[in-house]
Amino acid sequence: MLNYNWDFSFLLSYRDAFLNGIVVTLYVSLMSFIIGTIVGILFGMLIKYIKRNYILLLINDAIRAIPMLVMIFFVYYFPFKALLGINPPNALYSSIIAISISQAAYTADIVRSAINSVSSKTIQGAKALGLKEVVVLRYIILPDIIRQTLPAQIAFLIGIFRLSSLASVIGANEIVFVARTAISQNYRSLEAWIVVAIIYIILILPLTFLSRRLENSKWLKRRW
Amino acid sequence: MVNKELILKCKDIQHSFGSNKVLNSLNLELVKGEIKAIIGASGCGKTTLLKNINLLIPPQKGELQLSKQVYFNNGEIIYEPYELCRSIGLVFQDFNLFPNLTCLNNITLALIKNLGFTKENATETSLRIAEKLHIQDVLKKYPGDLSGGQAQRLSIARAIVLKPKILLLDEITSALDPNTTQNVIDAIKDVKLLLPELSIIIVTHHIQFAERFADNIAFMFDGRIIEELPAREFSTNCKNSKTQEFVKVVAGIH
Repeated sequence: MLNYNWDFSFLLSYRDAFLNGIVVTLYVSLMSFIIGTIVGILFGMLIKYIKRNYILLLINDAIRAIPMLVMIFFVYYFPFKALLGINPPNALYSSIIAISISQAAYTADIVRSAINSVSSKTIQGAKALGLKEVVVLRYIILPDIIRQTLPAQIAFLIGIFRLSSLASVIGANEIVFVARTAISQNYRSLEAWIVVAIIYIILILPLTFLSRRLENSKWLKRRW
Repeated sequence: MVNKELILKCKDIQHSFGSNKVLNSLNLELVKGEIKAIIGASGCGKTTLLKNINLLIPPQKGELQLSKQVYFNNGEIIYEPYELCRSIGLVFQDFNLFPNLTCLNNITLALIKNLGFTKENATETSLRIAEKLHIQDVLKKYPGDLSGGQAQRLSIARAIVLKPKILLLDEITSALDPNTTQNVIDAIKDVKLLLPELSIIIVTHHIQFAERFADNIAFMFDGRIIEELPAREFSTNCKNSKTQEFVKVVAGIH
Protein backbone atom coordinates (compact mmCIF):
# COMPACT_ATOMS: atom_id res chain seq x y z
CA MET A 1 0.00 0.00 0.00
CA LEU A 2 1.43 3.32 -1.09
CA ASN A 3 1.20 5.64 1.80
CA TYR A 4 2.86 8.98 2.41
CA ASN A 5 1.94 11.05 5.37
CA TRP A 6 1.73 14.63 4.13
CA ASP A 7 2.55 17.30 6.67
CA PHE A 8 2.98 20.94 5.74
CA SER A 9 2.24 22.22 9.22
CA PHE A 10 5.86 22.37 10.42
CA LEU A 11 6.57 24.95 7.72
CA LEU A 12 4.20 27.43 9.35
CA SER A 13 6.73 28.27 12.01
CA TYR A 14 9.17 29.21 9.22
CA ARG A 15 6.73 31.66 7.63
CA ASP A 16 8.71 34.77 8.52
CA ALA A 17 11.96 33.12 7.51
CA PHE A 18 10.46 32.25 4.10
CA LEU A 19 9.14 35.79 3.61
CA ASN A 20 12.60 37.09 4.44
CA GLY A 21 14.07 34.52 2.04
CA ILE A 22 11.83 35.81 -0.75
CA VAL A 23 13.04 39.36 -0.09
CA VAL A 24 16.67 38.19 -0.17
CA THR A 25 16.12 36.25 -3.40
CA LEU A 26 14.47 39.29 -5.02
CA TYR A 27 17.23 41.57 -3.75
CA VAL A 28 20.09 39.35 -4.99
CA SER A 29 18.42 38.75 -8.36
CA LEU A 30 17.35 42.30 -9.13
CA MET A 31 20.57 43.92 -7.90
CA SER A 32 22.68 41.48 -9.93
CA PHE A 33 20.48 42.01 -12.96
CA ILE A 34 20.60 45.80 -12.80
CA ILE A 35 24.32 46.09 -12.04
CA GLY A 36 25.23 43.36 -14.52
CA THR A 37 23.11 44.85 -17.30
CA ILE A 38 24.50 48.38 -16.94
CA VAL A 39 28.11 47.15 -16.74
CA GLY A 40 27.41 44.76 -19.61
CA ILE A 41 26.05 47.47 -21.92
CA LEU A 42 29.12 49.63 -21.27
CA PHE A 43 31.45 46.65 -21.67
CA GLY A 44 29.73 45.61 -24.90
CA MET A 45 30.15 49.11 -26.32
CA LEU A 46 33.79 49.12 -25.24
CA ILE A 47 34.38 45.82 -27.04
CA LYS A 48 32.61 47.21 -30.10
CA TYR A 49 34.29 50.60 -30.29
CA ILE A 50 37.93 49.92 -29.41
CA LYS A 51 40.19 48.70 -32.14
CA ARG A 52 42.20 45.88 -30.53
CA ASN A 53 39.45 44.11 -28.67
CA TYR A 54 40.80 40.52 -28.82
CA ILE A 55 41.75 40.46 -25.14
CA LEU A 56 38.41 41.91 -24.04
CA LEU A 57 36.58 39.39 -26.20
CA LEU A 58 38.62 36.55 -24.71
CA ILE A 59 37.94 37.72 -21.15
CA ASN A 60 34.26 37.96 -21.96
CA ASP A 61 34.14 34.46 -23.43
CA ALA A 62 36.12 33.07 -20.48
CA ILE A 63 33.72 34.55 -17.92
CA ARG A 64 30.76 33.07 -19.77
CA ALA A 65 32.42 29.66 -19.63
CA ILE A 66 32.68 29.64 -15.81
CA PRO A 67 29.78 27.87 -14.05
CA MET A 68 27.83 30.17 -11.73
CA LEU A 69 28.55 28.00 -8.69
CA VAL A 70 32.31 28.24 -9.33
CA MET A 71 31.98 32.00 -9.79
CA ILE A 72 30.18 32.33 -6.43
CA PHE A 73 32.84 30.28 -4.64
CA PHE A 74 35.57 32.26 -6.38
CA VAL A 75 34.22 35.61 -5.18
CA TYR A 76 33.35 34.32 -1.70
CA TYR A 77 36.76 32.78 -1.04
CA PHE A 78 38.77 35.44 -2.88
CA PRO A 79 41.40 36.85 -0.49
CA PHE A 80 40.18 40.46 -0.64
CA LYS A 81 42.12 41.51 2.46
CA ALA A 82 45.45 40.02 1.39
CA LEU A 83 45.34 40.99 -2.28
CA LEU A 84 43.28 44.18 -2.38
CA GLY A 85 43.43 45.40 1.22
CA ILE A 86 39.63 45.69 1.50
CA ASN A 87 37.17 43.87 3.75
CA PRO A 88 35.66 40.82 2.04
CA PRO A 89 31.97 41.05 1.12
CA ASN A 90 29.53 38.86 3.08
CA ALA A 91 27.67 35.95 1.52
CA LEU A 92 24.88 38.18 0.20
CA TYR A 93 27.16 40.63 -1.55
CA SER A 94 29.51 37.92 -2.78
CA SER A 95 26.55 36.36 -4.57
CA ILE A 96 25.52 39.70 -6.03
CA ILE A 97 29.05 40.35 -7.30
CA ALA A 98 29.38 36.87 -8.81
CA ILE A 99 26.01 36.93 -10.56
CA SER A 100 26.57 40.53 -11.76
CA ILE A 101 29.86 39.57 -13.39
CA SER A 102 28.22 36.73 -15.22
CA GLN A 103 25.21 38.82 -16.26
CA ALA A 104 27.57 41.59 -17.48
CA ALA A 105 29.44 39.12 -19.68
CA TYR A 106 26.24 37.77 -21.27
CA THR A 107 24.83 41.27 -21.76
CA ALA A 108 28.08 42.52 -23.31
CA ASP A 109 27.90 39.76 -25.87
CA ILE A 110 24.35 40.46 -27.03
CA VAL A 111 24.92 44.22 -26.98
CA ARG A 112 27.99 43.80 -29.16
CA SER A 113 26.01 41.96 -31.81
CA ALA A 114 23.02 44.31 -31.47
CA ILE A 115 25.21 47.32 -32.26
CA ASN A 116 26.29 45.59 -35.44
CA SER A 117 22.70 45.35 -36.54
CA VAL A 118 21.69 48.98 -35.94
CA SER A 119 21.04 50.13 -39.45
CA SER A 120 23.96 52.09 -40.92
CA LYS A 121 21.38 54.05 -42.91
CA THR A 122 19.74 55.32 -39.74
CA ILE A 123 23.13 56.41 -38.42
CA GLN A 124 23.93 58.14 -41.71
CA GLY A 125 20.61 59.94 -41.50
CA ALA A 126 21.58 61.22 -38.07
CA LYS A 127 25.03 62.32 -39.18
CA ALA A 128 23.61 64.16 -42.17
CA LEU A 129 21.59 66.27 -39.74
CA GLY A 130 24.84 67.13 -37.99
CA LEU A 131 23.97 65.27 -34.79
CA LYS A 132 27.02 64.64 -32.62
CA GLU A 133 28.24 61.13 -31.79
CA VAL A 134 26.98 61.34 -28.20
CA VAL A 135 23.49 62.31 -29.37
CA VAL A 136 23.43 59.53 -31.96
CA LEU A 137 24.52 57.04 -29.29
CA ARG A 138 21.99 58.22 -26.71
CA TYR A 139 18.91 58.78 -28.89
CA ILE A 140 19.39 56.44 -31.84
CA ILE A 141 21.72 53.56 -31.02
CA LEU A 142 21.00 52.95 -27.32
CA PRO A 143 17.17 52.76 -27.62
CA ASP A 144 17.57 50.38 -30.52
CA ILE A 145 19.94 48.15 -28.54
CA ILE A 146 17.57 48.05 -25.57
CA ARG A 147 14.66 47.20 -27.84
CA GLN A 148 16.59 44.47 -29.62
CA THR A 149 18.03 42.85 -26.51
CA LEU A 150 14.97 43.05 -24.26
CA PRO A 151 13.59 39.54 -24.94
CA ALA A 152 17.00 38.01 -24.25
CA GLN A 153 17.35 40.10 -21.10
CA ILE A 154 14.06 38.82 -19.71
CA ALA A 155 15.29 35.29 -20.31
CA PHE A 156 18.48 36.21 -18.45
CA LEU A 157 16.46 37.63 -15.56
CA ILE A 158 14.49 34.39 -15.28
CA GLY A 159 17.82 32.52 -15.28
CA ILE A 160 19.20 34.77 -12.56
CA PHE A 161 16.17 34.16 -10.31
CA ARG A 162 16.87 30.45 -10.49
CA LEU A 163 20.66 30.74 -10.26
CA SER A 164 20.37 32.95 -7.16
CA SER A 165 19.41 29.75 -5.31
CA LEU A 166 23.11 28.81 -5.55
CA ALA A 167 23.83 31.62 -3.09
CA SER A 168 22.53 29.26 -0.40
CA VAL A 169 25.72 27.19 -0.59
CA ILE A 170 27.77 30.03 0.87
CA GLY A 171 25.07 30.80 3.43
CA ALA A 172 23.10 33.69 1.94
CA ASN A 173 19.69 33.30 3.60
CA GLU A 174 17.51 33.23 0.49
CA ILE A 175 14.57 30.87 -0.15
CA VAL A 176 16.52 27.64 -0.67
CA PHE A 177 18.68 28.31 2.38
CA VAL A 178 15.55 28.70 4.53
CA ALA A 179 14.13 25.48 3.11
CA ARG A 180 17.36 23.59 3.85
CA THR A 181 17.32 24.89 7.41
CA ALA A 182 13.71 23.82 7.89
CA ILE A 183 14.44 20.37 6.44
CA SER A 184 17.48 19.79 8.60
CA GLN A 185 15.51 20.64 11.72
CA ASN A 186 12.39 18.57 10.89
CA TYR A 187 13.64 15.74 8.63
CA ARG A 188 10.88 16.36 6.08
CA SER A 189 12.04 17.50 2.67
CA LEU A 190 9.31 16.89 0.05
CA GLU A 191 6.87 19.43 1.51
CA ALA A 192 9.56 22.08 1.88
CA TRP A 193 10.76 21.69 -1.69
CA ILE A 194 7.18 21.82 -3.00
CA VAL A 195 6.71 25.15 -1.21
CA VAL A 196 10.02 26.44 -2.63
CA ALA A 197 9.02 25.36 -6.15
CA ILE A 198 5.66 27.12 -5.84
CA ILE A 199 7.34 30.32 -4.64
CA TYR A 200 9.68 30.28 -7.65
CA ILE A 201 6.79 29.60 -10.04
CA ILE A 202 4.87 32.55 -8.62
CA LEU A 203 7.91 34.81 -8.91
CA ILE A 204 8.82 33.79 -12.46
CA LEU A 205 5.47 33.27 -14.23
CA PRO A 206 4.75 37.02 -14.63
CA LEU A 207 8.10 37.39 -16.38
CA THR A 208 7.29 34.53 -18.72
CA PHE A 209 3.97 36.15 -19.59
CA LEU A 210 5.72 39.45 -20.17
CA SER A 211 8.26 37.91 -22.53
CA ARG A 212 5.50 36.18 -24.48
CA ARG A 213 3.65 39.47 -24.87
CA LEU A 214 6.84 41.14 -26.05
CA GLU A 215 7.34 38.47 -28.71
CA ASN A 216 4.24 39.70 -30.50
CA SER A 217 4.72 43.36 -29.76
CA LYS A 218 4.84 45.79 -32.62
CA TRP A 219 7.08 48.01 -30.56
CA LEU A 220 9.90 45.45 -30.68
CA LYS A 221 9.65 44.95 -34.40
CA ARG A 222 9.72 48.62 -35.27
CA ARG A 223 12.04 48.84 -38.22
CA TRP A 224 12.20 51.12 -41.15
CA MET B 1 16.30 84.53 -61.78
CA VAL B 2 16.88 88.02 -60.48
CA ASN B 3 19.17 87.18 -57.64
CA LYS B 4 22.47 85.71 -58.80
CA GLU B 5 24.22 85.40 -55.46
CA LEU B 6 26.56 82.39 -55.54
CA ILE B 7 25.71 80.01 -52.72
CA LEU B 8 27.71 76.84 -53.42
CA LYS B 9 30.87 76.31 -55.37
CA CYS B 10 32.56 72.95 -55.91
CA LYS B 11 36.03 73.26 -57.37
CA ASP B 12 38.00 70.34 -58.76
CA ILE B 13 36.34 67.72 -56.55
CA GLN B 14 37.98 64.30 -56.68
CA HIS B 15 36.91 61.12 -54.98
CA SER B 16 37.83 57.50 -55.62
CA PHE B 17 36.90 54.21 -54.03
CA GLY B 18 40.03 52.09 -54.42
CA SER B 19 41.19 52.42 -57.99
CA ASN B 20 37.74 53.47 -59.15
CA LYS B 21 37.67 57.23 -59.75
CA VAL B 22 34.10 58.20 -58.96
CA LEU B 23 34.48 61.97 -59.10
CA ASN B 24 37.12 63.35 -61.40
CA SER B 25 37.78 67.10 -61.22
CA LEU B 26 34.13 67.96 -60.85
CA ASN B 27 33.09 71.62 -60.92
CA LEU B 28 29.66 72.89 -59.94
CA GLU B 29 28.06 76.21 -59.02
CA LEU B 30 24.72 76.88 -57.45
CA VAL B 31 23.06 80.29 -56.99
CA LYS B 32 20.55 81.38 -54.37
CA GLY B 33 17.07 80.04 -54.98
CA GLU B 34 18.12 77.86 -57.88
CA ILE B 35 16.77 74.35 -58.39
CA LYS B 36 19.37 72.31 -60.19
CA ALA B 37 18.85 68.75 -61.34
CA ILE B 38 21.88 66.55 -61.82
CA ILE B 39 21.17 63.66 -64.12
CA GLY B 40 23.33 60.79 -65.29
CA ALA B 41 23.43 57.02 -65.51
CA SER B 42 23.46 54.87 -62.38
CA GLY B 43 26.87 54.64 -60.77
CA CYS B 44 28.22 57.85 -62.28
CA GLY B 45 28.92 59.28 -58.83
CA LYS B 46 25.84 61.41 -58.21
CA THR B 47 25.19 60.18 -54.68
CA THR B 48 28.89 60.43 -53.78
CA LEU B 49 28.82 64.04 -54.93
CA LEU B 50 25.97 64.88 -52.54
CA LYS B 51 27.70 63.14 -49.63
CA ASN B 52 30.88 65.04 -50.51
CA ILE B 53 29.05 68.37 -50.49
CA ASN B 54 27.73 68.00 -46.94
CA LEU B 55 30.92 66.21 -45.82
CA LEU B 56 29.16 63.01 -44.79
CA ILE B 57 31.99 61.51 -46.82
CA PRO B 58 34.54 64.32 -47.34
CA PRO B 59 36.04 64.47 -50.83
CA GLN B 60 39.67 63.44 -51.20
CA LYS B 61 40.69 66.55 -53.10
CA GLY B 62 39.22 69.86 -54.13
CA GLU B 63 37.63 72.91 -52.60
CA LEU B 64 34.09 73.57 -51.40
CA GLN B 65 32.64 77.03 -50.73
CA LEU B 66 29.41 78.02 -49.05
CA SER B 67 28.42 81.66 -49.71
CA LYS B 68 32.03 82.37 -50.80
CA GLN B 69 33.45 80.96 -47.56
CA VAL B 70 35.74 77.98 -48.00
CA TYR B 71 34.55 75.13 -45.76
CA PHE B 72 36.66 72.34 -47.20
CA ASN B 73 40.05 72.58 -48.82
CA ASN B 74 42.11 69.61 -50.01
CA GLY B 75 41.37 67.27 -47.15
CA GLU B 76 41.09 69.97 -44.51
CA ILE B 77 37.66 70.46 -42.95
CA ILE B 78 37.31 74.10 -42.03
CA TYR B 79 33.76 73.97 -40.66
CA GLU B 80 32.92 71.05 -38.42
CA PRO B 81 30.33 68.88 -40.16
CA TYR B 82 27.73 69.41 -37.45
CA GLU B 83 27.87 73.18 -37.99
CA LEU B 84 27.80 72.74 -41.71
CA CYS B 85 24.80 70.43 -41.68
CA ARG B 86 22.65 73.29 -40.46
CA SER B 87 23.35 74.97 -43.79
CA ILE B 88 23.31 71.96 -46.08
CA GLY B 89 20.45 69.48 -45.64
CA LEU B 90 20.50 66.05 -47.23
CA VAL B 91 17.48 63.87 -48.00
CA PHE B 92 18.41 60.27 -48.70
CA GLN B 93 17.09 57.96 -51.35
CA ASP B 94 15.70 55.62 -48.67
CA PHE B 95 14.87 58.51 -46.29
CA ASN B 96 16.99 57.06 -43.43
CA LEU B 97 14.48 58.06 -40.75
CA PHE B 98 14.81 57.14 -37.06
CA PRO B 99 12.54 54.12 -36.58
CA ASN B 100 12.41 54.32 -32.79
CA LEU B 101 11.28 57.94 -32.63
CA THR B 102 7.83 59.30 -33.44
CA CYS B 103 7.58 61.33 -36.63
CA LEU B 104 7.43 64.50 -34.54
CA ASN B 105 10.61 63.58 -32.68
CA ASN B 106 12.28 62.73 -35.97
CA ILE B 107 11.87 66.40 -36.84
CA THR B 108 12.57 67.96 -33.42
CA LEU B 109 15.68 65.96 -32.42
CA ALA B 110 18.20 68.03 -34.39
CA LEU B 111 16.47 71.31 -33.47
CA ILE B 112 16.80 70.53 -29.78
CA LYS B 113 20.24 68.93 -29.88
CA ASN B 114 21.96 71.07 -32.53
CA LEU B 115 20.31 74.45 -32.23
CA GLY B 116 19.44 74.35 -28.53
CA PHE B 117 15.69 74.86 -28.98
CA THR B 118 13.46 74.13 -26.01
CA LYS B 119 11.10 71.22 -26.49
CA GLU B 120 8.08 73.56 -26.79
CA ASN B 121 9.72 75.79 -29.39
CA ALA B 122 10.98 72.82 -31.37
CA THR B 123 7.52 71.26 -31.40
CA GLU B 124 5.91 74.51 -32.48
CA THR B 125 8.43 75.05 -35.29
CA SER B 126 8.10 71.44 -36.45
CA LEU B 127 4.31 71.63 -36.46
CA ARG B 128 4.40 74.68 -38.69
CA ILE B 129 6.65 72.94 -41.21
CA ALA B 130 4.66 69.70 -41.03
CA GLU B 131 1.47 71.61 -41.82
CA LYS B 132 3.03 73.21 -44.87
CA LEU B 133 4.15 69.79 -46.07
CA HIS B 134 0.72 68.26 -45.25
CA ILE B 135 2.02 65.66 -42.81
CA GLN B 136 0.60 67.19 -39.63
CA ASP B 137 -1.77 64.24 -39.17
CA VAL B 138 0.93 61.57 -38.99
CA LEU B 139 3.22 63.18 -36.43
CA LYS B 140 2.19 60.83 -33.62
CA LYS B 141 2.91 57.75 -35.72
CA TYR B 142 6.24 56.03 -36.20
CA PRO B 143 8.13 56.11 -39.51
CA GLY B 144 7.40 52.42 -40.11
CA ASP B 145 3.68 53.21 -40.32
CA LEU B 146 3.98 55.81 -43.09
CA SER B 147 3.44 55.48 -46.82
CA GLY B 148 6.43 56.14 -49.08
CA GLY B 149 5.21 59.62 -49.96
CA GLN B 150 4.61 60.56 -46.33
CA ALA B 151 8.04 59.23 -45.32
CA GLN B 152 9.59 61.35 -48.02
CA ARG B 153 7.82 64.48 -46.85
CA LEU B 154 8.87 63.67 -43.30
CA SER B 155 12.52 63.33 -44.30
CA ILE B 156 12.28 66.64 -46.18
CA ALA B 157 10.70 68.27 -43.11
CA ARG B 158 13.47 66.87 -40.92
CA ALA B 159 16.06 68.49 -43.15
CA ILE B 160 14.44 71.90 -43.78
CA VAL B 161 13.42 72.52 -40.17
CA LEU B 162 17.06 73.51 -39.58
CA LYS B 163 16.57 76.31 -42.17
CA PRO B 164 19.40 75.24 -44.45
CA LYS B 165 20.64 77.33 -47.36
CA ILE B 166 20.93 74.28 -49.58
CA LEU B 167 18.83 71.14 -49.77
CA LEU B 168 20.30 68.05 -51.43
CA LEU B 169 17.81 65.45 -52.62
CA ASP B 170 19.17 62.04 -53.55
CA GLU B 171 17.27 60.01 -56.18
CA ILE B 172 14.04 61.40 -54.84
CA THR B 173 11.79 59.52 -57.25
CA SER B 174 13.36 56.09 -57.22
CA ALA B 175 11.95 54.81 -53.91
CA LEU B 176 8.43 55.74 -54.98
CA ASP B 177 5.94 54.48 -57.47
CA PRO B 178 6.53 56.16 -60.89
CA ASN B 179 2.97 57.49 -60.82
CA THR B 180 3.67 59.46 -57.67
CA THR B 181 6.34 61.71 -59.18
CA GLN B 182 3.66 64.41 -59.28
CA ASN B 183 3.57 64.16 -55.47
CA VAL B 184 7.32 64.71 -55.35
CA ILE B 185 6.98 67.81 -57.51
CA ASP B 186 4.19 69.06 -55.25
CA ALA B 187 6.38 68.46 -52.20
CA ILE B 188 9.20 70.49 -53.74
CA LYS B 189 6.75 73.28 -54.60
CA ASP B 190 5.55 73.26 -50.97
CA VAL B 191 9.16 73.57 -49.81
CA LYS B 192 9.77 76.49 -52.17
CA LEU B 193 6.66 78.27 -50.90
CA LEU B 194 7.98 77.90 -47.38
CA LEU B 195 11.60 78.83 -48.08
CA PRO B 196 11.78 80.79 -51.37
CA GLU B 197 15.51 81.46 -51.04
CA LEU B 198 16.45 77.80 -50.57
CA SER B 199 18.72 76.38 -53.26
CA ILE B 200 18.06 72.77 -54.17
CA ILE B 201 20.14 70.13 -55.90
CA ILE B 202 18.23 67.07 -57.03
CA VAL B 203 19.96 63.99 -58.27
CA THR B 204 17.88 61.83 -60.58
CA HIS B 205 18.03 59.76 -63.73
CA HIS B 206 14.58 60.82 -64.74
CA ILE B 207 14.83 63.56 -67.41
CA GLN B 208 11.14 64.29 -67.90
CA PHE B 209 10.75 64.67 -64.16
CA ALA B 210 13.73 67.06 -63.97
CA GLU B 211 12.46 69.14 -66.88
CA ARG B 212 9.19 69.79 -65.08
CA PHE B 213 10.51 71.58 -62.04
CA ALA B 214 14.24 72.35 -62.31
CA ASP B 215 15.70 75.69 -63.40
CA ASN B 216 18.81 74.07 -64.79
CA ILE B 217 19.86 70.55 -65.63
CA ALA B 218 23.45 69.35 -65.39
CA PHE B 219 24.54 66.15 -67.04
CA MET B 220 27.12 64.07 -65.24
CA PHE B 221 29.34 61.59 -67.01
CA ASP B 222 32.54 59.85 -65.98
CA GLY B 223 32.86 61.71 -62.66
CA ARG B 224 32.36 65.24 -63.94
CA ILE B 225 29.66 67.56 -65.18
CA ILE B 226 30.04 67.74 -68.91
CA GLU B 227 27.10 69.93 -69.85
CA GLU B 228 24.63 72.24 -68.15
CA LEU B 229 21.59 73.92 -69.70
CA PRO B 230 18.35 75.61 -68.65
CA ALA B 231 15.80 72.85 -68.10
CA ARG B 232 13.49 73.86 -70.99
CA GLU B 233 16.25 73.56 -73.59
CA PHE B 234 17.98 70.49 -72.22
CA SER B 235 16.61 67.73 -74.43
CA THR B 236 16.54 69.81 -77.58
CA ASN B 237 19.70 71.89 -77.29
CA CYS B 238 22.31 69.68 -75.69
CA LYS B 239 25.57 69.75 -77.64
CA ASN B 240 27.71 67.02 -76.11
CA SER B 241 27.43 63.66 -77.85
CA LYS B 242 27.30 61.75 -74.53
CA THR B 243 24.37 63.88 -73.36
CA GLN B 244 22.54 63.40 -76.63
CA GLU B 245 23.05 59.66 -76.37
CA PHE B 246 21.63 59.61 -72.82
CA VAL B 247 18.64 61.73 -73.82
CA LYS B 248 17.97 59.41 -76.75
CA VAL B 249 18.19 56.21 -74.66
CA VAL B 250 15.94 57.63 -71.94
CA ALA B 251 13.43 58.89 -74.51
CA GLY B 252 13.32 55.37 -75.91
CA ILE B 253 12.47 53.91 -72.49
CA HIS B 254 9.76 56.32 -71.46
